[in-house]
This record gives sequence, C-alpha cells and structure tokens, in this order.
Amino acid sequence: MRRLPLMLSMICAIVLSTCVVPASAQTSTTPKLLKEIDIGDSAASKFANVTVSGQTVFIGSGAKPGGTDTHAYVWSFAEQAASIGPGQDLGLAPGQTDYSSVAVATAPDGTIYAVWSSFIDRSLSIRHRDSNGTWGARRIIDSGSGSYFFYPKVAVNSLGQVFVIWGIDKNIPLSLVISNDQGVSWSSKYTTSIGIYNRSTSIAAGPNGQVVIGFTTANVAPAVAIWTGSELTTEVLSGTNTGAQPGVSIGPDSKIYAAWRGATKTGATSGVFYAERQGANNWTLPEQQQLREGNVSNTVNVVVDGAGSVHLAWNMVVDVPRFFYSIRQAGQAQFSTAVTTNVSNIYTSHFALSPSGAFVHAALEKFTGNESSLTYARFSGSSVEVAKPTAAPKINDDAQTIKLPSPPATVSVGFIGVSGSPTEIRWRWGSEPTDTEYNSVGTAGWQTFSPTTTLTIAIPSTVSSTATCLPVRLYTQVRTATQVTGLAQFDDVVLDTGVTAAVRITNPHLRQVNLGSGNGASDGDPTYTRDPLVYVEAYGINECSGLKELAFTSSTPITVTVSNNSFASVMPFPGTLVAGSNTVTVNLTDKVGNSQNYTQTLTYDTTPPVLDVASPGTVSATANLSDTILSSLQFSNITVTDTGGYPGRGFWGVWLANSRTPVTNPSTDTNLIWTPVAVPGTDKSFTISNWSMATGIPSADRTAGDYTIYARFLDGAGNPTSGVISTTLNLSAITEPKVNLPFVRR
Amino acid sequence: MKRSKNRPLVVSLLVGTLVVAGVGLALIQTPRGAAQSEEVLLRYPDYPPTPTIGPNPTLPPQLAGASTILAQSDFADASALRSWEFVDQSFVIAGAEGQWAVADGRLAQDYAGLVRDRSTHEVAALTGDPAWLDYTVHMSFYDEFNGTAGVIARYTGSDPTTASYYRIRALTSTFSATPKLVLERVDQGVTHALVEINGPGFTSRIWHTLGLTVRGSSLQATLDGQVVAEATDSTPLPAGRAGIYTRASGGILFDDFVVTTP
Repeated sequence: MRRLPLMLSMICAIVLSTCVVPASAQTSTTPKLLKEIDIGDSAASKFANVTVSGQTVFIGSGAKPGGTDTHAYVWSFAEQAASIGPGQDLGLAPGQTDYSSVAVATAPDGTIYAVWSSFIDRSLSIRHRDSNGTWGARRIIDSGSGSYFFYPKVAVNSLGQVFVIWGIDKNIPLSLVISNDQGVSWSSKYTTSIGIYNRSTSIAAGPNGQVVIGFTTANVAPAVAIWTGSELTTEVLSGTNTGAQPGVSIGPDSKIYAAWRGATKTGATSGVFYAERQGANNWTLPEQQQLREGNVSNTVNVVVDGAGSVHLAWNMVVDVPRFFYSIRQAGQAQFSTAVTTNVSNIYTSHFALSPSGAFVHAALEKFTGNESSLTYARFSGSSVEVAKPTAAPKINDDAQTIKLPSPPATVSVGFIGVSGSPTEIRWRWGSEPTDTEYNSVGTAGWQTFSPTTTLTIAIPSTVSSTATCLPVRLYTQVRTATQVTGLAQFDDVVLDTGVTAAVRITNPHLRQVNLGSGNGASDGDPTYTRDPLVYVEAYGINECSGLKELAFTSSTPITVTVSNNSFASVMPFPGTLVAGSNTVTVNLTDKVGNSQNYTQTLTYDTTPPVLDVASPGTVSATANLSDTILSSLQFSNITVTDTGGYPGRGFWGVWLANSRTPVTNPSTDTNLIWTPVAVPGTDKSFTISNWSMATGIPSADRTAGDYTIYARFLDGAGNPTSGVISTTLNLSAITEPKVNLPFVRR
Repeated sequence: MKRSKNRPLVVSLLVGTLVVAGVGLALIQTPRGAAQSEEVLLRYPDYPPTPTIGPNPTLPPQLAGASTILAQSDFADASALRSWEFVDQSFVIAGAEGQWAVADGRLAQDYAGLVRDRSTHEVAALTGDPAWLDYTVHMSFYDEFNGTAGVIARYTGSDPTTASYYRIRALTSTFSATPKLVLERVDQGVTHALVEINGPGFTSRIWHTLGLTVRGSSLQATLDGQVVAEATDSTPLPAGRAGIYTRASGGILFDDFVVTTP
C-alpha cells in the first residue's frame, strides 16, 4: 500500500513521456528555389504550359519575339540547365497571345505533343516531336470561321491516346477530342454536361488510360470532368461563386486530386483549396479544405508524383504578386512552408515534375510594365527521394563468357533484384543509355518490360565485330509507369567469337615427338608416317574460354579432354588407314561451345626406299680444318627409288652412323647408332656440313685414326634403304669445337 | 493512530494531482486533429505586414478653389459608378472584362471577369461630356500591386480599341519596363509618345496624384503636384471625355477625381 503512490507517480511519468512528441517531426521539408532563368525570346508570352520528358523540360507558349504575329513556340532544355536557348517556332498563331496559346504534354513513350490555338485563324493545331527531336508536320485538329478554341490543353494517357480540350465561349460546355494515331485523325467532339466559365482549364492523365479535366463552371464553381472511356462525367467540387480554375492530377493509385482557388480575395472563399476524390461525387473533408486564405489568381496547379507526394503551385499576392510552390510529402499530413520565386509580378503559371520527382519546373508569365514574358523557375522537389526502380541484368544466366552466336547475334538477358515496379526498359552496349543513345527499340529506347521475362537482346555488329577476350558491358535501365527512371545497371560478358588455337597433326616419328625410332628413323617428313599413329598437338592462342575437347572426326571418333588449354599426344590413327594419302581431321571445341576443324593430309608409307645397287652414288668426307671432329660429307649422284611415294629423288634425308672399324653388314649391325639428318631440296648430290665424327662413338674411342661413315637413305616416313654407302676419314688429330667466352672481370 | 488515518487521504490527493497534471500535459502534447482545423495548413514565408492605406492627399489649392468644376467624384458610394463608363481597351472574351467597384469610398479596379483574375489588359473608366475641350483632369491613386496608373483626356470613339485620346501613364518602380512616365497621344488605338520621362517610377502603397491639363494644343502633366511633362500637339485631338487608366490586374484605388476648367 505504501508503494502505491510511488507506482502511480511512475506510471504518470511514463504516460507523460510518451505524450511528448517533437513538433518538428510533423513538419515537411521546405523545398528550395534552385534557379530562375528569363526566357529571352518570349515577348508577349502568356499562359505558358510545361511538360517534362526524361531529363528534358519543354515549355510551350504563344510569343511575339519579333513584335509581329504571334507564333507557337516550344523551348526545350535540360532539367538542370543554366540557360535556355531560342525556342522552336512551331508555326503561326495569329492573334493576341491571350487567346493564341500553346499547351504541351508528354506521352508515355516520350513523344512531346504541342497544341495551339490561333485566335484570328480560328484554328486548333497540333504537332508532335519524336524521340529524335524531330517535329512532325502541323495538323489541324479543327477550324472554322465561326469557331473559337480558347485555352487548349493536351494530355496523353497511358494508352497513348491524345486528348485535346478547349473552351468555346462563356457558358458553353468544354470540348474534347481524342486521337488514337498521334493526331492524324480525331474523334467526334465530346463535351461536358454543363457550361464552363471560359477561362483556363487543366487536364491530367494517369494509369489505366485515366484522364481528368479541371474547369470552372459558368456560375463560378470548381469542377472536374472524368473520362469514362466513352463520355465525360462532371463532378462539381464546391458551391456557386466559391471557387475557380482547378488544377487536377491522378496519383499512382489512380486517385484523382484537385486544387483550386477561392472566388474571392479574402475570407473563407479565398485562397488555396485542395481535395482528394474518395469516390463518385465524394470529395469529403478533411481532404477537401481551404489550405490558406489569400488573394490567389488564375489556376492552382497540382501534381501527384509517383511516390504519392502532392505538389501544389499557385499565384498569390502577398506583398506583390508571386508564384508559390509547396509539397506534401507522401505519408505526411501537412504541406511544407511555401517557397516563392525572386521574380515577382507573376500572372499565370504552370509547372511539371521531373520523372524522379526531384525537380519542379515552372513556367511563369511575368509582367514587366509594358508586356508579358516568361521566366523559368526550378525548385527542388520531393526531398524524400522517389524509390527508383531496379532490375539487374544477367546475361545468359550470368555467364562470364559466352559463345558469340551466328548473326543476328543475340543474348538472353534475365533480371534479378527487380524492385520499384518497373514497366519499361531500355539498354545500350558499352555505355549507359540516354534519350538519344540506346540500342533498344522504342521512343528514347524505352520498351515494355516484365520482370519475369527473359529478353532476347541483339548484339550490334559494332560490338560483335570487335569482340576480344575482354568483357563487353550491357547497360540496362528501367523506369516505372510514372516515368521514375532507375539508375543504369550492367552485366559484363566475354564474347568468344570462336576457337583460336594452334594445331599440329604430324608424323609421330619426328625428332620433336621423341617417340623412338622403332623400325626406322626417329625423324622424317611431318606429313608422312610409317606407323598407324598420328601425333596431335593443340594449344589455345587468345582462346577466350579455353579449349575443352579434341576429337578425331572419323568413322571411329575419338574424343579426349583438353586440360590447361593445351594437348599433345601420339594417338592411334583414327579410322581406316590406307597406304598413301590419308586425311586426318581434328575437331577442337572450346568451353562455350565454339568448334573448329583442323585437317592434315598424312601419307602412310611402310615401304622402304631402295638404293640403286648398280650405281648408288658416292659419299666422301673432309674434316674441318679447325675442328677436326666435325666433317663435311659430300654425296654425289645418290640414286634412290621409293615406291612408297616420296616424290622426286625418292628420299627425305640420310641416316648416318660412325664406326671406328669397318663392319661387314652395316644395315643389320646392331652396334651402329644411326642418326637421321634431313636433306632439304631435291638434288641427288648434296653436302652435309659439320657432321660430328663423335656421333655414336664412345668418348674413349674418339681418338686419332680412321673413322668409317655409313649412310643409308630415308623416305618421308623414316623408312631406311637397306643399301648402304660408306666412306672413311682419317683424322690425324682430334680437335673439338671451342667456344671462346668473353673475359669477365672480377 | 491519527496520522495513519490521514495517510490514505494524502496519498489520494497526491495521486489525483498527478493524474490531472498528466492528463493535462498529455492533451497539450497531443497533435492537433481535424477538430482543430482552424490551424494554418499552409505556411508562407514571412513578409512585412501590408501597410494600412493612409488618408487621401489633399487637393492642390488651384483645384480645390477652382471656380468651374466640370465633374467631381469622391466615390462615396456605389452610386458614383453611374456616371462612369468602364471599357476594356483591347479585345477580351466574354466573362473576362475588367471589373470596377467602389469600396471604402474609393474606386477600385477589381480585376477581370467573374472569377476576378489578374489580367494585364488595359482598362479605362470614362466620364464627362464629349464636348469638353480645355480642362484639367486630376485624381489620386493608391497602387498596391497593379503598377499602372494614368489619366485620360479628350477621349473620343465608340470602340475602345480604336479610340483617340491623350494620356499620362505612370508605372511603378518595381516594373523593369521604361520609361516609367509617358505623356502620349493615342490615335485610333495606336499610341504615340509625346514626352517620355526616365525616372524611378512611382512608389507603390502610398498615395499619389496625377493630373493632365489640355488647353488647345498644349498639354501639361503633373505627378504629385509637380509638372513632369509638357507638350504641344500641332494637330490637337478634338474635345472628348476624361477618364482613369490602368490595367485589369486589381490592386489599385482611385479617389478625388475632379475635372476643372483651367
């Protein structure tokens, strides 16, 4: 019981502490004015309209930069530009710029549409600009001497349908036409069910083909007209003489937002109002409310970004007429403290957001005392960065090296780490894609993206033709339906264009092979063999993926695995070997599946050549003067016949053996050590220089005296003649070659 | 024994006090809900308070004591509008016409159209007799944020866009356009400057007076009682009405309008 007061006190303290909420946590971050730029050639501009495509801002307005007729102009510049160049003149729009005005809009594919009215011509025109920056021809939407086309606006919905609205006269319904073919043809006219107060209107497009129009009723009330797919349904947002000139927007959740100004300059029906549509004709409190009273004129614009943040802008007199911008961050209850421009005397304005929501681009109609002109203002937008979509590409299941397919070469690209609900993708090999540089197909490269789809992406010839064993990089970039663009992501891959290897298919008895002489010489012509064997050597040269397998393509195929990118072995001759010419084909495959055949012709020859018995020719020897152990052997008129097929003189080389004593039957004497020496050329008489008399002679026997040299003749396969010729060389002294090394000073 | 009997009471008082204090503090700290919608939902940067509109300037002695007053209005009430014609000096669509009103004993340019938009188109308030030839037109004006004020003399023509008249036109100092003060002749809607005065322009949010005297071919303009421009027109305009000139931007008041013979 005694502890009860203490416990209660502690409970109260805990309750109090939980009630203390920092006030600052409930306030939004204040946006900042980043840049103001006067647009130089915008004399007399009024009712400017702005849109953004990618990172490019487009401002449309009628203007008289030359002081003569009004022309429809569009100024385009980078979203972080420091200056603005001359506008693009889209065509004549004769009449006061109040009533010859221009509107612009961005289609989901990045196409820009500009619509303008001409007061004197009584016409309504449209042009569109493709992703290459080329403006198409002017098309007349409607015209007629008895018609007016006041304050046209344009929007393009997610289905690519172009919506154009305009006013005709006071208390006459607003008009709408729709084009499904980029303005080539137009629907019949749709109208609102009630007359409008003929002043500036607004239009917005959203997901699922949604379109909403904001207008003022003839009895001065804010209203919206919602496109149902077949007609416009009108919803009036407040009572008669309470408000006007609503701006409208459609959020990423398809909810419709509206903001408007009060009909009066002070009091409860003045200032900025804002509402969110909860359902048909349901714009209930607390979402519909006067945000702040004040002397507000012209349209209050509202844009809801992809993250759900609400951006508001309006024109109001505080000390002087100013442009104000405020944001209500997604998930927050309050709008930020409004921020204004330095430039004042603002009459009308319009703004658009960067797809990322990071920048707010406003076109301001400024009055300087004699005429209007435009000032562009840039603000920081959503301080809570809109989540950027991601989708990391993986080429061919994240392979490091792939086989370069035959033209048209493609790769399959899947994606991991997909987030942010991307709906479109573009790509580029070697560099990040931009609005003007991309390899994908579509406006600015954008095409439909599905996270679960594996894309087949072509490899441009400029990439494939220059492929080396260095990786090439594929950049991909995704964006959402609200054009929130993610950072470019990439994957590297080595394009292995084919097997690149050095291959030898040779006589297995070559000196280099060291197979052993067997029943013949241990050397010979590489294209001959006397045994049913073949020596194969292969190693990769600049082979990107490395050699994997070697196979003989014959009736009895043999496949062996290649390790460490090289292979060398004497192998049984594949298939059926016949005497004479045989074609040997070796197939190499690398680790990504490239394949390459290498072919060699080998002559199978088991028949020894025959030294002519009657006149075999002669051999003589002459010792070198300085190095007597070396001698020069002169062969003359050697006559050999080789039925095995060695061409010309019938022999490839000689087979030499030294002996300190003459032997009776040198062709069969097993003490002789025979050494093959190639004899290039086709002459039957030739010289072999620097034959060592020590060859085959033990060191102890290398003394002065007679040396007998025996010679047999070898065909290409290393088959020796049975016939032998010989000569004797007397060495009075043995001198061996010396190598004089340079003196080295210690 | 006595102390032990009082202890529960003391404890109860202590606990009660703490609970009340806790609830009170909790209510203070609770975020405001919809029920407190009086709170400002949208904040603006701090600006200097709007100055109170001061008293009108007194009439110059020569006007106050003028023997022949052709017309005079202090805009005491809305009935004063009956003797005025209000015209738009360029084409405007139906519903976008310049609006005028009498408020607090002054004539106010009341924006454009039913929705009271701020428009840059030129407007005029005309009064008097088309037969007036030589006279002085004088008025006071208080500019809040309109920036353009003027006085008209010898106005003739039925179509405001092709009318002819003399005008002294003044701009506020906050406008970048120059000149800030122009004595001009408008011939069938086409303006010809007679005198241009380069200066800083008038200061907004204080009262000024503006006058224009036409006598034969001579013209004389005054600003705040000082002669600022004089001109001779070799082919003077014929007789016509007097008036006030501005733009349909709202934010400007006129008072003490008087037309006297020179």
